[in-house]
Amino acid sequence: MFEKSSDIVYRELHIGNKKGMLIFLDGLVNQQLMDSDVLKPLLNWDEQELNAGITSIKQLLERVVTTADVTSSQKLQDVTDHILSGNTVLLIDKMPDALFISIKGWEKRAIEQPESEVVVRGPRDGFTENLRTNTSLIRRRLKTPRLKMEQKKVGRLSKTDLVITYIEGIAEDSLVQEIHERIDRIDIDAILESGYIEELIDDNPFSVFPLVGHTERPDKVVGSLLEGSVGIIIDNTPFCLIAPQTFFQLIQSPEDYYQRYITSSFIRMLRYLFLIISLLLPSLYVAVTTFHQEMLPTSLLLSLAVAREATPFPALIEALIMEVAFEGLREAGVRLPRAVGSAVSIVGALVIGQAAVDAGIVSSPMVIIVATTGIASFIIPGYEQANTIRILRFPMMFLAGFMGLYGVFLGVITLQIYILRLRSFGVPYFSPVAPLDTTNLKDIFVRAPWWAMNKRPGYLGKNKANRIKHNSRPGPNQ
Amino acid sequence: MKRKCRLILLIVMIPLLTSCWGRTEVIDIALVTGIAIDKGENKNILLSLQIAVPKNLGPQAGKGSGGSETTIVVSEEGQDIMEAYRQIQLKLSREVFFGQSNVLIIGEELATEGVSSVLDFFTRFRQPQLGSTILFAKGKANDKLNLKPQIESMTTEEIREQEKRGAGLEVKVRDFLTRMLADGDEPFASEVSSEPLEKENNSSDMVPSLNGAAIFKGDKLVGWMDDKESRGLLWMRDEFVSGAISLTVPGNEGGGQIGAEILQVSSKIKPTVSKDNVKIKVDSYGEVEIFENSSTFDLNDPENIQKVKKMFEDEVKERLELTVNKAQKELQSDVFGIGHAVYRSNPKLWNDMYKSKWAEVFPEIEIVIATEIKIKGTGFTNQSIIFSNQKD
Repeated sequence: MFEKSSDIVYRELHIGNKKGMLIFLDGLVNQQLMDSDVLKPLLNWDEQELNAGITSIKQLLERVVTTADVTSSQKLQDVTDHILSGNTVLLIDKMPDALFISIKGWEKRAIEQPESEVVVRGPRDGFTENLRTNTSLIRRRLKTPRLKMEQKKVGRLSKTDLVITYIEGIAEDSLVQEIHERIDRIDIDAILESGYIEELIDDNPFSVFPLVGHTERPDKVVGSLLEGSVGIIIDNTPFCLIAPQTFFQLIQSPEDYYQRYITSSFIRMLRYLFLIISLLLPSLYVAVTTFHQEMLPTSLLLSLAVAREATPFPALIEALIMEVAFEGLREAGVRLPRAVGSAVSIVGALVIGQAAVDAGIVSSPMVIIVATTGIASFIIPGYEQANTIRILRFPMMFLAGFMGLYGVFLGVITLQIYILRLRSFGVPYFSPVAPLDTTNLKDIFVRAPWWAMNKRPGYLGKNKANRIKHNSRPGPNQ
Repeated sequence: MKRKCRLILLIVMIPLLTSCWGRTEVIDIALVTGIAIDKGENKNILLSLQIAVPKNLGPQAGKGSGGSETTIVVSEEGQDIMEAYRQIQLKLSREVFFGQSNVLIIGEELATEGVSSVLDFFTRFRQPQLGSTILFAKGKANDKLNLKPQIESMTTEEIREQEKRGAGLEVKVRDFLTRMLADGDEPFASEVSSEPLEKENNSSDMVPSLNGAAIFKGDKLVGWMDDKESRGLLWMRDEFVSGAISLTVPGNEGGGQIGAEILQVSSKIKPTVSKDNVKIKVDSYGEVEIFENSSTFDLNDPENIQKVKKMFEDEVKERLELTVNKAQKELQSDVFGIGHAVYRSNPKLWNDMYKSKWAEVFPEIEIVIATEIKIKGTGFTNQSIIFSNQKD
């Protein structure tokens, strides 16, 4: 079965009077543990016991092998599965059972700060590619047996391990059930990243908005679990999925909950402002300068007219050129080697912007607009969500260029209707604003202080609604 | 799927198939910053537009050689505004755009004949703003557009800023029309005139200045008020923004001048209406702070304050009476909105008796003015410097 596989190791050995064989994949096994806990005890079999002979494989399991995780089975399929997932298999002549010794060990990355979600205040640990490391990061934050971690294998060839994690009693049973069903439905040859799962369990496969959340931060996963969400941790990727996902989670950053709530509320409102800027600023500029000149103060319009005097392109074309150039620079910045990436993108943007203005190809207000929009798109905490907004900006610009403000508002209304139709695992995407649930608005436009947010978000489930003792507001008398 | 594709194709085609659209780039419009309308020859209308020239306005302006005027004035005659405007359009490479026009100046001759014919264009056409300032000029209006801007980049901008600061009467086209169409109210607006920058220097540059008011009866100009009278008009209408008042202390009190800034003003027109006569009482209240005192009054003394207060009250009363006299007796135009006040106090009687013959009744009614002035402060120094000198 394993012919033409150079990394498989067959190690023959004598255990007492019996012949045996260890089979494992080189590189997936911790060699040190193999020597000290498996080979040594097996080969230095006590003389007395040797005479008695081995009667069963169970005896070996109980008395000889000194590693913790050892199982046995009689099925051939199990043998191959265990070998492939990194276990060592011990077979003994004329015995029907195979012993699976778990001394897995392979090269893995240390826990590092997550690159895509940086915080100033908050824990610095991020998920790694190792499933067990990741589950341990979550387990360490919730020391309760109610934290469940149900393991599954997905992928015909990859047989990727994934863990569905939730807090029993807080997450709705029906939600957990639904996630199980949707994952069981997946029949694909390989899962290489969480994105595969995300796309295959989506409520609306054509949605521009991400309907399943993902994060590299264990604290964010735990926060979501405590609100009644379910996490899906997948082997070989540092990204963990969170379901369900709502629109307003795209404005929330884990840091909001660690900073003082007044700061957080301010920053959150700033994010809403910049979300709108990121989506609409170029289109508003195009609409106002080409259709609604009477809306601007005279002096502002005159400065615009002065700046645009020498430019050859219509505002829409100019905006498109600049936005596309900016997106290109951005993308180049991501792909470039890290050491030069940021420098090249910033310098490139400056040089190209300045040079283009001096050459009279684009006007300087347009550079300001594009730069502001660019900054605005980085303020949205989720990378994927920011991408969504960035894509939507382009149809908005076309609408503005063709129909003016009328087109922009048409676009906004269409987008709004579209968002309202979306659902993530049965939860309306725009909840709790639509359908309106006033008791849950404390964590939407502002971040209420912890002592005031005594209820878990109702739209994610009604279990264990109270999360903090009533009247917990601190004060000198308490 | 096929149907969906067709639908999407249709939606994409919609914006591309519209042949006529309202899109104009900023560089394709001629920004009108001010409009002047005069009477032309043969019952024609002379329309003058002040148009901004962006290439001379920016930070690079002045670098180029010559032709650095920030605005140009284009004018053309026509039977109506629309015709004149079309004629102007023929002379320009860019599309005339009224949307940013802030100032509308109408010449005396046209105003005397009636302004409703020209104002109709401004209410009907979508571009001009009803919020733009309306002004009247003695003589020709388009001269005012031709004045060279001194501080701001455009003449009309200078007029606007003056008005914003509180000089003149702030009257928008909208207000003018409302007053024109309302019963028991008559329109008025600021007069714009050209004044030399330096007094007694005839060669100094002329600048627009807002002083005085044009008084209307219906849509026809009936006369002008000078600066003092127009201040009184504002005071009577309870629209006073800011200003100064100075009075001469009579000789038997020691002579000298006292000047004060007016901080706040309120006026109430209280009509007493009966079947056969209308009596109007105007209660005027003002707060002033004394900033100049060259009289012998020691303002630390409450008695003196009382005296000064009385003098201010008399002065204000005199001024208001001057205004009322001018409007009521001379111009016979109810610019104070007294008719409206009568209507509000007794709508039925107004509708039955006075509405139709208000023009005849108004010049005859009795208007009594009562003033009260409160002196809120006397500035940083207590005694007049002159007074202290005399003591030594």
